[in-house]
Amino acid sequence: MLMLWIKAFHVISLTIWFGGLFYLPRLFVYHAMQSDSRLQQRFILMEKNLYYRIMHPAAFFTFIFGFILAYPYFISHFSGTWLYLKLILVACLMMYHFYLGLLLQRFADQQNRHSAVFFRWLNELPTVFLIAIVLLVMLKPIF
Amino acid sequence: MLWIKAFHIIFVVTWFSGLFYLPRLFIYHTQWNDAVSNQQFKIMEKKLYYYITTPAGILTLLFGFWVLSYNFSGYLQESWLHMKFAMVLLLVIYHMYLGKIVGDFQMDQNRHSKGFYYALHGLPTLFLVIIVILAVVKPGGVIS
Repeated sequence: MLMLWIKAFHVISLTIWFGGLFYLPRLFVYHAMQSDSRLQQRFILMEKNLYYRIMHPAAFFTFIFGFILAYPYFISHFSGTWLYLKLILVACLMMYHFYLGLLLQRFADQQNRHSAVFFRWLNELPTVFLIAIVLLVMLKPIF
Repeated sequence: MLWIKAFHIIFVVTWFSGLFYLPRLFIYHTQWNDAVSNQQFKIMEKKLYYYITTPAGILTLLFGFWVLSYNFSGYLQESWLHMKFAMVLLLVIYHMYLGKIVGDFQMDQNRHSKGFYYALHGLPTLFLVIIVILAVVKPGGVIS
């Protein structure tokens, strides 16, 4: 029963986290297309709010609740490939998360090196992660 | 069935990202209402609402009912599902209300303050917490 509550809060946190993972690169797209300097400053503020106040805490809680959920699997020498595959994807997603932070810092330093097209592509990545991760968890395929 | 449930969850996550960020855009839009910002926010709101939030919302409902269709009479006896239905109905009304506000902004006829949008902004989190707890923990018994 307690595990179900933890699972619920894992799902709630990850939904909030993904909200940011989806929208932050979208803000970068608009930011990269915008030439008005005052509006650029506003985008930096919007990006920082989203990244530090929403995505960081949400990623932290997703990870903590997820760790508690996965712990019984680890101590029982669980051999299901789906969980390990999922953890690899989560590790990639974490790197993506921190990469967004690096891009945000470059924008704040006026040193963005990428075009709007680049950010559009970057924007597609979390969708791929979301689909792959949810399918692995739901179907728990045996390889 | 698990495939359908998986895609239901994927669309829920996408839908909520829009439900979370739209009111946030309204806050900024109200706060910064010079001509350049106004144009920019109009585009952002329109795209987020019509290209992301609304399609994701429709697909969430379709896949949700598809999941239910596998054991409709069985699910109908679960009390948590009745509560979830009520919450989803409110969420759909909330979604459509956001659409009305997007329309008001498009016509430069925003009628609300920043504080109002802050309050509005808190609602989807509340819905998310209640709905996920209902669906995962499934509290309450079977209706006899």
